[in-house]
Amino acid sequence: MIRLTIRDLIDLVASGVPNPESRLERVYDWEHARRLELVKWLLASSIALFAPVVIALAKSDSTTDGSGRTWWLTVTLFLAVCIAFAGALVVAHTKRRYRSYLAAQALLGEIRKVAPFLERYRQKSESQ
Amino acid sequence: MIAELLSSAVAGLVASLLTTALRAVQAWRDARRKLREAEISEFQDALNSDSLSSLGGYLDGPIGSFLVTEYADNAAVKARVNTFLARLEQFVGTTSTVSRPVKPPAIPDSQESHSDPELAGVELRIQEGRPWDALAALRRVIENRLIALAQKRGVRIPQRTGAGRILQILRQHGILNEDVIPSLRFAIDVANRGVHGLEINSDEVYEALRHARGALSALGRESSIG
Repeated sequence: MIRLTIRDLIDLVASGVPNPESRLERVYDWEHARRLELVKWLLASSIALFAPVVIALAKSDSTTDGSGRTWWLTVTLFLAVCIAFAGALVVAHTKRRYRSYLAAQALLGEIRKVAPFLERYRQKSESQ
Repeated sequence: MIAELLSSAVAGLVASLLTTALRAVQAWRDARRKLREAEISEFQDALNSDSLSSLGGYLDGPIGSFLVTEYADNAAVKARVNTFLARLEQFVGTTSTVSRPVKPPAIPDSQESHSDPELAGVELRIQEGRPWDALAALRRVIENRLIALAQKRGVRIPQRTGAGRILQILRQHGILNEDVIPSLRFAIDVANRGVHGLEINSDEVYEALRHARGALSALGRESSIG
C-alpha cells in the first residue's frame, strides 16, 4: 500500500510538473491494479491450502487417524484462514482507498493555490 | 480431529483480528503523536517569524508528515491540516488574489523619511540576500502600524485582516491622509507578491521600502499630532 504523505503532495506541486492531478491519478491507478493482483493471489493461496484439508477430511477414517497428520491439517487450516482474512481485509481497504484518493486530490487543489511560495522555498532549500 | 480443526480455524481468525487491531492502534497512536507535534500555536509562530526557512520547514516537518490516509480517515487530522492550509493561504495569498505589478507612485514632497529601526531590520534582510523575509517583515511592520493607528482612533479591525484590507478600512473612515495611501498600497502590493513567491527584483524591493519609509514617517507625524 502506498503511504503517501502531505509532503509528497507538496513536492509534487513544488516541482512544477504540469498537471499534477493526472500524475496522482496514475499513482492510485497503479496501486489499485496491484491490490487487485494481491487479492487474487491471497484468495488463490487460501483456497489452495484449504482444498487439501477438505479432501483429507472427506477421506478421513477416525480409527486410522494419526496425530502427525492432524497436526499438519491444523497448521494448514490456520494458515488458510489467516490468508483468507488478509485478502478480505485488502478488499475492505480498497473502499477506503477511494476516499483517500479524493482527499489527495482535494489537498492537491489547496496546495496548488500556494504553488509559487512552495517553489520559492524549494529553490532556497536546494541552493543552501 | 474435527474439533481440533475448528479450533485451528478460530485461532487463525483470532490471530488475524489481533494483528489488524494492533495495526489500527499503532496507526491511531502515530496520528496522535503527529497531532501533538503540529500545534497550531507553533504554526502561528512560524507564520510570525517572517522567515521562509521557518515556515517552509514547518510545512515539510509537522504538517508534511501526515499521511493522506490519516487526513481522509481522521477528523482531527483533517481539521488541523485544513486550518494550517487556510492560514497559509491567508498569509501568502493565492494566485488569484495577488495583484499584478504596478508602477511605483510619485512620492509627495511632504513625505520626509526618518530613520526607523524596524525598517532598518527589513533593509538588513535585503542586504543579507533574504528578499522573501524582508518583504514579509515589511508587510508586518506596515500592518502593525496601521493596526496601532486604528486602535488609537477607535476603529475596530477584525482579527487576521491583511494590510491591504486594513488600509481600505482606515481610508473609508477618513483616518489616512490621501498622500500616503498610494505609497502604502504600492509597498503592500510588492510585499504581497513577494510573499506569495513571485519574482521581485531587488530594485523593486528597495523602492517598496523607500515608499513605506516615507509613508510611515508621515503617518507617525500625523498620529503624534492627532
